[in-house]
This record gives sequence, structure tokens and C-alpha cells, in this order.
Amino acid sequence: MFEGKVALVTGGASGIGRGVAERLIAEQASVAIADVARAEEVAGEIGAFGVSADVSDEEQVARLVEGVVDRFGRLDFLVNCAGKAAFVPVAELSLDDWQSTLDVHLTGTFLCCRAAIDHLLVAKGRIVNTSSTYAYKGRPGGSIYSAVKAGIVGLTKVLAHELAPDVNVNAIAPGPTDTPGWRRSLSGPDFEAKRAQRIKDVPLSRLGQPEDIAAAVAFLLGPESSWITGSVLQITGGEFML
Amino acid sequence: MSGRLEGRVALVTGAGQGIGRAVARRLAGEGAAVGILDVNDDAAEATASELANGGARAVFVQADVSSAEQVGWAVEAISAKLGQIAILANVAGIYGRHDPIRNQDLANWNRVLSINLTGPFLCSKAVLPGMLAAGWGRIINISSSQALRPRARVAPYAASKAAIIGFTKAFALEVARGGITVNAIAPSVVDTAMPRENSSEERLRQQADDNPMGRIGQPEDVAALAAFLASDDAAYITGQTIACGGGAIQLP
Repeated sequence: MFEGKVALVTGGASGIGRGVAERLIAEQASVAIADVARAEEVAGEIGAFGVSADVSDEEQVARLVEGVVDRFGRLDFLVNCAGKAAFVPVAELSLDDWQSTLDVHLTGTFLCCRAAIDHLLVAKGRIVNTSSTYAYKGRPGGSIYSAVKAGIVGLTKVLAHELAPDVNVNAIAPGPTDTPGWRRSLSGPDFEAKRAQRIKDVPLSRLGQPEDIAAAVAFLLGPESSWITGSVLQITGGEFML
Repeated sequence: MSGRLEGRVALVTGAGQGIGRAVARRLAGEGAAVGILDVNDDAAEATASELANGGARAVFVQADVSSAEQVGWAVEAISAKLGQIAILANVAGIYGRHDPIRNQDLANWNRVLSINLTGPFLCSKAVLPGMLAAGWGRIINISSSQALRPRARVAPYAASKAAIIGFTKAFALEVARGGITVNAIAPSVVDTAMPRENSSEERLRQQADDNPMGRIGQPEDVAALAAFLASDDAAYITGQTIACGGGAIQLP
């Protein structure tokens, strides 16, 4: 479906980002992945172009986008998946942890979008940002995570206005998804019990897989979604219903 | 109704003008002692004097909500003068520059986020130990209709106001068993300096016409909701974002 299209997937070396990259490659897109760790290595494994970059760094993001355009000659899709999880109660949350989470998720999404806009306008491309069901609900310790994921919804809506009618901008809100980041967020001696409880909360009785999320992203990048912009698509196995 | 906040100490940020000033007046009117934290000294000092002249206990401390250090000593100074802070209204906020994302500079983006989002985090964290010790607290954040239906060219503002909703929900869960509630108010356009500096008179008239109630909000409309959320009557409401927009905002 995506032959001749060029996609940049941030956070593409693991979890949802990697799932998205693999899906787009399977659909014949040329894919660049950016990540702070293992970008080149994973790119080699899946057949992508890997760039080591920190999305919260303005200069690195500019170099990243120019590097992708230099390499492929265009940019059609930007999929912002880079993120990190920090689950600490407000009373103990340091400003450094607050700020670095804010910088990677929300400012990183802003910086990547801003750097890609001109290329996406030329290509009449698409943007998909990664929010979360935690944009709509809280969990103890998730103050900055819920904040950034809700913030990404706000940013997505503004961008959808600004870039219409040339570039559709949407967000995905995954529920519990079996990724390294999700597993880390439950880490501890009672990991198995917590994991089982999370699965019990899902009407479809399983965790989401990166492939499930990637399928929704592919839809939002494809021709069937041309009338959808400024929307947030929940992919949760029914665990969350807005 | 009057006196329902008697004996409580409230901290209101951004009380030099607009919604913050109306919240400070209303909480004082209901009997609370009011600490005012604002970067703008003349205007905030005037609010504090006005409240004191009206018979309330009120103090002003100049501080920038985005500075952890300044917030720390402001909270300490206000608590020392008025007593332990039981109510925090995070109203300080800025709109930031109007720029489409493509021209949006990182400095403006960070400034809006640090005041509108990190400010409430820092103020909340600073008052939290006292509230937990007392087993009672009320935290009220200000979101915006633009969290849900933003305009173009104000992405940092819209993002910060959407983010505060997420923050409110997660934080509410953490402190629910400590007797502390955390809620947000999402006003539609309110008659303050902020929209007047950022919209034409014609647009404001249009917004009034488009509003189901035929008017834009007044700061007192928001303050009344804040007072309710600060009261014992709202004890079982937490983690919520409540629209205050004459019917113009309908949350999902």
C-alpha cells in the first residue's frame, strides 16, 4: 500500500515504534527509524535506515529530518512513537524526571512535527502521534505521563487545524500493549500478578501487541482515512472506552 | 454559603488579574485567608491590599511558578504568615505567542509549558506535605476549552491545557486517600485581559453570539466553581475536569 512513500518513525528501535516500522516496511514503504539507542542495529535487522537521535534535542531533530530527506528525497509520513515511562508519585517526583519526560514525549513530538512540516506539505503526507488511554484517565504515579499524553492530544488537534487540508494529523491511544516500556512500568516482584490483572481488565482477554497498534497506524497513513484529521483512535481491546 | 471556607488558608497563583483575582476575591469572601503568588508585583499587591481592606487575611509573595526554588520559599512564607495551606488554586498562566508550529520557537513553547503545566506541578508538590499532614486539601487547576477544541497557532497553550487534564487525573488518584481532591476547570473564553490581547473585539462578540447563553464568561463564573470545588460540598468529586462555558463546551 505504501510503495514509493517515505516514513520516519521515532522511537522505532523498540516496542510500538518498531512494530510500526516493520508494518510499513512490509507494505513497501521506505522507512527511517530514529531512537536514542540501537537505532542502527535494529534498522539493520528490519531493513530500515537507522538514525541515532534524541527527539528532545532541537538540533538533532533538524539533522534527523534533513538526513532522512537527503537519503530518500522526500518525506510522506511522520510517526512519533518516541517516549519513556516514569511512574513516580508527585510527592517524590523530581523536577528533572518531570522535565525529561515532558521533553521527550511532548516537546519531542512538537520538534519532530515542526521539522517535518515543509516536507509533509510538499508530499501531502500524514502525521500520527502516540497518545495513550492515560490521556483520558490517571494512574497513581502517572502524573507527567498522563500530562504529556493529554498534551499530545491538544497538540494533535492544533496541528490538524494548521496543516489542513494538506496534511492529516491524528493520534493513537493504545491501551495496555506488550512492549518493553510497558513491562518496565509494571516491574517488581509481583509482575506476573499485575500482568494477569491487567489482562483481566481487557474485554478481548489479551494484551495489545505492537502489530495491533501498527495496523491502526497503517490505517491512519492510508487512503481510507483521508477524511479523518484531529482525531484520536483508541486501540485497547475494549479496556478503555471514551 | 458565606463562611464555608472559614479557617482555611488558600493559595491562589496568578491572582494579580483576571480569573486568579476573581478566585482570590471569592475565596476570601467565603472566609478563607488568601496567599497570593504572582510574578507581577504591582497588580498582585493591589489584589492583596483590596482583600485586606475588605477584612480578609491576605498576603502577597512575588514568585515565578515555574521556579521550584521560588515556589518553595513562597509557600513557606505564606504558610508562616497565614497557616498551613489547605486550598491551592493554580491559575497563573500565559497564552504565549501566536505562531503556527512551523514558526513556533522552542523558547516560547518551553515558556508556556513551564508556567501552565510545570507551575501547577511545582506548586502542588510544595503544598502537598502540609495537606497530607492535615488529611484535607483541595487543588484546583485551570484547563481551557482549548484543551478540547483548540484554535490554530496556539499549540503550546492548547497542549499545556490538555496536559493539565491528564495531570489532574493521575494526581487525584495518588492523593485520594489522603483527603485531598484534585480537579480542573475548563472555561471557555472569559472576559479578561488574555482574550482581549489575543482576539479582536469582533471575534469576542462572535463568541458571545455563538455561546448557548449568549455571552462570554466572567471571571466570577469561574471563581464560583472554584469556590464550590474548594468547599466540603465537593468532597466526593476528584480527578474531574468541569466545563464552565455557558454550554459552549461539552466534554465527552
